[in-house]
Amino acid sequence: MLAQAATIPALVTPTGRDLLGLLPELILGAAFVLLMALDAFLPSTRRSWLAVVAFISLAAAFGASMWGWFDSGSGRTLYFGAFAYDRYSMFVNAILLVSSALVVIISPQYLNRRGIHHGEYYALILASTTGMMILAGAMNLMVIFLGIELLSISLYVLSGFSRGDERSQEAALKYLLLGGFASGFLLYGMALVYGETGHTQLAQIGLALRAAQTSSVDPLVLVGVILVFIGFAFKVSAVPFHTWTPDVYQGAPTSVTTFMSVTTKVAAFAALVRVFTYTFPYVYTHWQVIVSLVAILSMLVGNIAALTQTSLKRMLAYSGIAQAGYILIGVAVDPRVALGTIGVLYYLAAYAVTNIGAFAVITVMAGRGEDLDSYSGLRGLAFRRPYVAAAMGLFLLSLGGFPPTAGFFGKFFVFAAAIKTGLTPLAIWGIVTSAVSVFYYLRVALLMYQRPAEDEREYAWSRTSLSAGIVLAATTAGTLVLGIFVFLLYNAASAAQSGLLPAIASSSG
Amino acid sequence: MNVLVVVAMALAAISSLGVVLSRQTIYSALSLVVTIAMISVLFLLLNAQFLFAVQIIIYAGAVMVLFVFIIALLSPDAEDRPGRDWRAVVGLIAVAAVTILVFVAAGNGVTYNSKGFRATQLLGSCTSLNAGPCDPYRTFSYPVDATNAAGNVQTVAGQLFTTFLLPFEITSLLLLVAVIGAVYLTRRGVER
Repeated sequence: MLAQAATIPALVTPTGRDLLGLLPELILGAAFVLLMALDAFLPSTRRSWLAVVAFISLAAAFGASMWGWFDSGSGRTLYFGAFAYDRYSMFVNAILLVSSALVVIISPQYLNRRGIHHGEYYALILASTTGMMILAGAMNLMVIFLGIELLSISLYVLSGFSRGDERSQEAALKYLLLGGFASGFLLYGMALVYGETGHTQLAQIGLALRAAQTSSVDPLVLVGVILVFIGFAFKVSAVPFHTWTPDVYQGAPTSVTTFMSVTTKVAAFAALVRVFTYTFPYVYTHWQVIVSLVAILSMLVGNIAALTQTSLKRMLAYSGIAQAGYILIGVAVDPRVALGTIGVLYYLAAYAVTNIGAFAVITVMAGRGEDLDSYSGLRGLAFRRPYVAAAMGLFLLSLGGFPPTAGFFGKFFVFAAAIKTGLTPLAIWGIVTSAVSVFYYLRVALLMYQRPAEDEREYAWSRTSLSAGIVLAATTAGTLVLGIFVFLLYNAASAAQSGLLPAIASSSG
Repeated sequence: MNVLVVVAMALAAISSLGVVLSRQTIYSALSLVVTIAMISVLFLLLNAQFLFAVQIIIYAGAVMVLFVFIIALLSPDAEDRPGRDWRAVVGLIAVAAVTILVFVAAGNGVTYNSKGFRATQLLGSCTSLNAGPCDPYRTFSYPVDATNAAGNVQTVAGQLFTTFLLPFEITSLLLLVAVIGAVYLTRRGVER
């Protein structure tokens, strides 16, 4: 039945240039294997060494990313168009690697206190970060899916890392089940997009959509695009796909929550922008409504629900849902306006440094017994740990969007982009809900400066260790620097945006 | 060939309903075997011999044996499967309606622009499934001899080691992570 010989693509081995472009991912992947091997030989009292190895590998990957920033120039693709080697992915890598490194620094102390200091922790953190970096550079639907799975599977295990804690186990199971659904949506959407365009490479999908644009759009493409968006919306925990967030953030060990609350969002938004703003610009009018709607709902539900919380981790989880709504504004603006993407990048960096700081306070102040989770646990912190309380106050102000902190300019740029492209109602809605959010942020900030009542026992905060001091100092400095020397990061984000692949819209002239 | 396709599709659909609806777990599992076998027949009819073999070996072979083994271990008689729920029925009907609507629209060449729905073709005008310009499923058209002329296995291999080389490599890391995670979550001596 198959007499004729047709063309088989010639077998081409990936060149050294391809491998060099993947250097950050390769370093972390190798470190992951190394950590597992080391864990087998290290005595259990020396597990902190694993943190040192993990930190060194993260630093090396950061160095490789910085080298890639200067080397990639105007950007090119690796592995037959499956992976982007551009400044955008290097920018996102930098945020991810710094966040992971900060988490690795505060982890040993916290894990020891909880009695869950196992070697797999650092290996899984590195594996998850690798998945996120792959997601940030993915230029192929398959690579996007595998990146998401790599980061998710590591996080499922990490959120259930406390084996003896029922809450933690419940969080892992919930996250696994809902994450599985999200992957299903994502894959179904990808299958439809592939079926209609005939490609899995983002660049070619974009070109196919551009060619089809002359007539009109097939409903199956639109269903596919929407399903892909739902898959991403689960990962960034946007309403109405947010229900897992509070339970998982609360149940997971706090250091894991610190890690995933920031890095998952950064990586998923990086891929979301690459896929929607840069691959689907020709169906923009169709998905813009959906993205705006999800943004509006996220801002509303996140902020309103955060008002009624009495658990710090749940409050920050709902705050994270609201923040996802603000960032989605930057995605919903017209793809032809660069400020939207720049705003998203700025917001992600600002959110990362601020949120890591806020969660780090909860992590490093946790006492020996229970996690520091209820509001009352913070009462009087300012009198015992004045510097920690001041830092926490700063992070809360930044989350609320006060100048001169990082959070203010994150919001400023996405709102400005919305106004510039005629989406003023979205910006106004964002400002109104931000005003609401100030209430619950300040409530927590004020608690720290209240003296506990006579008969009330103070929470037994742990001593501020050197590692905690380093992380809190770094995040405080970051929050202030990004809020004062704005153009340092703005210029970098702008450079990252200008080289973003796939450049379909710009090639049309 | 078209008759075979329809028969295989119908059997796959019926048996997959059996997976969801049967009260006995073991019947569900056995229905799943039929579903998987029918899907593999579809692969064969689409001239994808490699996928056919993989589907049989991995799903019908390895995965299903595991399923049946576990069901036998857990003694399904003791298990209470929840009765049918009206919410499930409503959900099923809604999903089926939306799916049929979307596919009928796509099959009729209905396209969507920002002004609303607009029918460009009627169902009757498409006489054969793999006709050229009037086929709305451009890339779904079968038989796909053109792409498989060199032999399906070679085509898959060629794709796997060029376009999909990176996904292929990432999968290996993914499996390693999954193994380590599973071992951690089930290992004795870390419960405390």
